[in-house]
Amino acid sequence: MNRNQYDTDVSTWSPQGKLHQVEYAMESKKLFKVDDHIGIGVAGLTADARSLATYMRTECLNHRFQFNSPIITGRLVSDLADKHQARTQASWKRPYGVGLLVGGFDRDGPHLYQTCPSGNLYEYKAMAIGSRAQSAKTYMEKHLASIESADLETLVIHALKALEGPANDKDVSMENASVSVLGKGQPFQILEGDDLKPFLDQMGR
Amino acid sequence: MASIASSEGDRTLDPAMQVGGAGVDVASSTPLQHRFSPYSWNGGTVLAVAGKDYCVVATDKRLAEGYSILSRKIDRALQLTDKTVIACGGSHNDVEALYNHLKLRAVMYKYNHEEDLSTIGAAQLLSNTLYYKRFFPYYALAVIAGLDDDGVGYVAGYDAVGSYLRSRDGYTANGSAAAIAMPILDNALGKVGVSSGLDEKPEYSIADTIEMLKDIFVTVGERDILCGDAVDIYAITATGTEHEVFELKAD
Amino acid sequence: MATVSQTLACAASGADVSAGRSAADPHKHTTSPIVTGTSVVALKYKDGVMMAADTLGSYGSLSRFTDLRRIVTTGGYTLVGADGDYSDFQYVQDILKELEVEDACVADGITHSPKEIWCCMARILYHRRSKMNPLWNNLVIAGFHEGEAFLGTTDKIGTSYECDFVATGMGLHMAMPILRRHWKPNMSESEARELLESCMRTLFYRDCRTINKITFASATKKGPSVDEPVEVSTEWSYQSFVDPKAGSDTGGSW
Repeated sequence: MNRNQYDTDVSTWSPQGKLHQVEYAMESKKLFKVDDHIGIGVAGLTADARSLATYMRTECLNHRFQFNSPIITGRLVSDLADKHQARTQASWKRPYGVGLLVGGFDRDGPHLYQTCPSGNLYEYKAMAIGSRAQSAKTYMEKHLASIESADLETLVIHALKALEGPANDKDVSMENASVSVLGKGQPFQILEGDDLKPFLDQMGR
Repeated sequence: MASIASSEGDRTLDPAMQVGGAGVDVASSTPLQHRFSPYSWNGGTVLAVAGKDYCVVATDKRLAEGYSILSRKIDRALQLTDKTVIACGGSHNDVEALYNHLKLRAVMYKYNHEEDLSTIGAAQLLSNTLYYKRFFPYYALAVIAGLDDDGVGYVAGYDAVGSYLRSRDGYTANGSAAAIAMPILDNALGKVGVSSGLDEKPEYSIADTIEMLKDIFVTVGERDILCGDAVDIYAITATGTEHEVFELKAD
Repeated sequence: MATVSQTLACAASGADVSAGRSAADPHKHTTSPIVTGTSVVALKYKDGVMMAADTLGSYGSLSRFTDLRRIVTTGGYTLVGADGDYSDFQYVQDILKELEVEDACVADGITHSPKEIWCCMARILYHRRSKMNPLWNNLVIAGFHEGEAFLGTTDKIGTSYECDFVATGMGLHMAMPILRRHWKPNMSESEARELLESCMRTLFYRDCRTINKITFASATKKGPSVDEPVEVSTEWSYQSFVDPKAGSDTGGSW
């Protein structure tokens, strides 16, 4: 299902200097529910992301079956990172071609993790991944203080603005953005299309 | 010489409480005085009534074993989706295991299809799940209640191995006091094949239906010792499900 | 069914206990308990949960072991008490230890909550009963976590429920009526202790498989703890104890 010979892998450059797989990924759904208290955003091979999402969902269901409680996000992402790592040192396997941002809400509050194909795992207060992540990171770094103390509504607007970023030429819109939220008393939910209107209105977009 | 086992009183099982031996051979040359039973008969009465655009299901909260009451406030009903509720009498360990399995399946269904499992789908899933354990059954006497794809009330009753039937007259009873409750429901609501009443029965409102079920539980609780304490009532409409607890005598 | 002497002989030789079964049988399931503990009684009170069990390990009708501890702590918040087969309870303790070790290895400072342990135990006991190879115990799981007291129980077939107070085995018949009459929400520590003692005393009077050496345990915001065994006070000078037949023909009962 390839559109040309340069889109078979995330790390294959086309002569025009494009990473086709990364761009395809931009077009498809990038937010997945894992459980009521965990969601992921992905950048890279969407197929790999879907298989990892299925793994995470299964782990969550197994935990609920065994303990009747939500799994601890940190433990799940640690297992997830180990899964990534195992793919880096076997000659007959390839690494996962996808990076994940994992948001979770546990008994000790909210967490945000990033996984990498290498198996590295980091926890952040704010993070962006993907081909144009740098401008988002710059935005969030600048506004970190207000992000940390923001209520949900403000946080969504921050996310949209970070997505837009100073370097991006296109405004965010109901067509090209979706936002997921989760937290205390707020099960994972994806805001897209008309759901975003009030936020975009407030941003004057 | 007396065996060790015979000294333990709690394993004296009333034959009536033994529900099948699950086909596992524990025979020895001397007759066993006690035999491990993986089942218990914990009571549990379920009544359900379907209307044109609603469904009500009610089940008692008493967990009983023999002449003892273990708990007066257990949940026997499972809200599977916004418009489907399942409730079971029988062996409570199996009922819980069955619910845990169904909960998991409902979540997986939603991930795969990006919509809730329908009531009719849930009814078939429940049947398959029960029949899958045909030769070591879940001892769960189930009723499923909800709204079908047209928004019409749906009620079906099951046996322990998955045989089920959607009630034509829109009511059913299952579990401990089903045999006492069913004739009362027949009299109030029966049309097809019931000669005790009128051909034309009144259409009850959802509020009247709830009141009727409360009355039936009050009267059934007087006769069935396994039934009592309180009743979980779920009223299912297109706008969602409302739950209330109705107190019975705790005697 | 094996007799006591057969069991003793077989235990020594390592042969199959069950008469009529050849030693070639691949394995034998637990179809009856061997060394048994009797009732566990527990209740919620103002500061958390309190639990009691005696220290007797019965071997049939023989008072075989007189200092068995049937209440243990696990994780950072939980008490687990057991009646029934003592070796099966020791296996349950192995499982609990495994859970603790897993938590310790992750080293994120989180241990399982009482409710999670209760649920997990119910799943394990149900799983074993489904293999027709039960763990022959009633487990009482109590704890205090995130400001809330928890009390739940599960039997050997996985019937599980939460409760404000509970008594297993003979206690279900003799301690539960006492608890139903006298338990109330938010009892003080001394009231709770007094009520538990009253239950244990009654059981000691009437349950043949008891001794008056009782472990009390509690789980509060300070964590779970199990005390050294103590005796409860007894009163044997009641007329009906002294002269069971006095004034009636009830065969020594009340």
